[in-house]
Amino acid sequence: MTELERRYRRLLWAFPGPYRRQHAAEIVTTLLDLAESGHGRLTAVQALHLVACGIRQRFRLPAGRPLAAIAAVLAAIAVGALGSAAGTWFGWWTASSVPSNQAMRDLTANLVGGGGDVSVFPWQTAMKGSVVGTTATVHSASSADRVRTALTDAGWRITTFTERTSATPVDLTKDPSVTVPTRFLYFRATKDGLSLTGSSWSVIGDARHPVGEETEQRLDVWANETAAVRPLTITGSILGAVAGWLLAAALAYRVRSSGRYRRSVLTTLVAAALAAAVLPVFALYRSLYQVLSYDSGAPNPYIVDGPSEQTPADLVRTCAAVGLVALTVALLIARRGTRTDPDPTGHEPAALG
Amino acid sequence: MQEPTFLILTALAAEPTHGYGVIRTVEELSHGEVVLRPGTLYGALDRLAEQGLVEVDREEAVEGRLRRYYRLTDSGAAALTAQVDRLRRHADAAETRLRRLRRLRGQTAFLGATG
Repeated sequence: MTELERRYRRLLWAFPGPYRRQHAAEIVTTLLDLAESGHGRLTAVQALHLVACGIRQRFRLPAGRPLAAIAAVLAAIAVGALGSAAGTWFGWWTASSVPSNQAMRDLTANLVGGGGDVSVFPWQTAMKGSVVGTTATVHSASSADRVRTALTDAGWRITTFTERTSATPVDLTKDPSVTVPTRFLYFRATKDGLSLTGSSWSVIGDARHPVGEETEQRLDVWANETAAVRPLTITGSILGAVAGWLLAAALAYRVRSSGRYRRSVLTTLVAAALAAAVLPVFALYRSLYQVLSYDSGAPNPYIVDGPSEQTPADLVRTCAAVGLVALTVALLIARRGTRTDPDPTGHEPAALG
Repeated sequence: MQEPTFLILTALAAEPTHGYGVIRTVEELSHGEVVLRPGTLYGALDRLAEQGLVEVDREEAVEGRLRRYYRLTDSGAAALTAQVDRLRRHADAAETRLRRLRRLRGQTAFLGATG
């Protein structure tokens, strides 16, 4: 093989595999014929054109197959949803990581002055950002100074601090005029790309009403959105849509060049995969909408309730698994088919467009 | 039907031809106006084969080089005939109208010269 031939063969890598296996030899011959006949070697522009033709070939669907076109559009929509989720996931890698469970437990214990159990529960914002929350109940009164010190010592910069004391009826059903003093603390703080919000409600004992002192503390720390999350989400969905189309186009050509039996098996598997994908894809688009419409300036990282919260997660997971299995089997069958298939240029005739 | 497609089918109408042969014939047919690039040619051949308008005639390997010859199918010949009829109709219509225009211009020029 001459160097020129090798160079031409390399250019053909832009074409899809089955197409290359079928046409590479004759295309290279034509290119060499052109080079020897006085047309000269391929110029850079011509080489680029050949590569562009190869890429376009990857996007092409078999002519006269409306089902392939429908499958390609659906695949683009489905894989686009998957891509957006992957983009969001990558986007959050650029954000600060929330403190460890132990760090949160320590901070909460310091806020309430120790004692009592702290429960830690990690969760996610509607934008898929990490949040770690804690609750604690202790048998002592809250202290604004202690909270301030604990936050500052842990490196937090306090941005809001509210303290309110009031009298709360001990038992509304008996005598509403019998009250105990209560203290409500609400605070917000920031640190290295993290936001913190906390509140505590405390019963303060006094000489007149010797009730047991008690404090309920709630704390949430979440990662702030970075500039990368939304752009990467959108990029992910575009890349996913392109990948879905390419996958469908490659499969469509393999289906077309298969025998009648294999073709019906492949078509059934792809249809099953697409049907199973409906629910997971709906859930993914729901979260894409939430990611893009999320108000990251909101003071609390609340979850926006939507239909995806009502979709049973188990059902979504099962559907996703069934869809993936069907698609994998289809790809394996299609892949085995192409290696051994004879030259499928003698296609059945189709109507002239 | 686009011009390159029409010219490729025309090139294959005379006899089965391989890729380079098609490029050369199309160049001759179009008096050098259309020089097919290999990417365009094989994209078109693939599409035409899919539509059943052309098919592989034979393969020849000379000095390790594979040449695949394509020929026009019956439906390819029918499609080309239909296109030729259509183009002829259009050409005739254009010619008739141009003749009328020339006649009209001639009269105007004559009137202009005498009036």
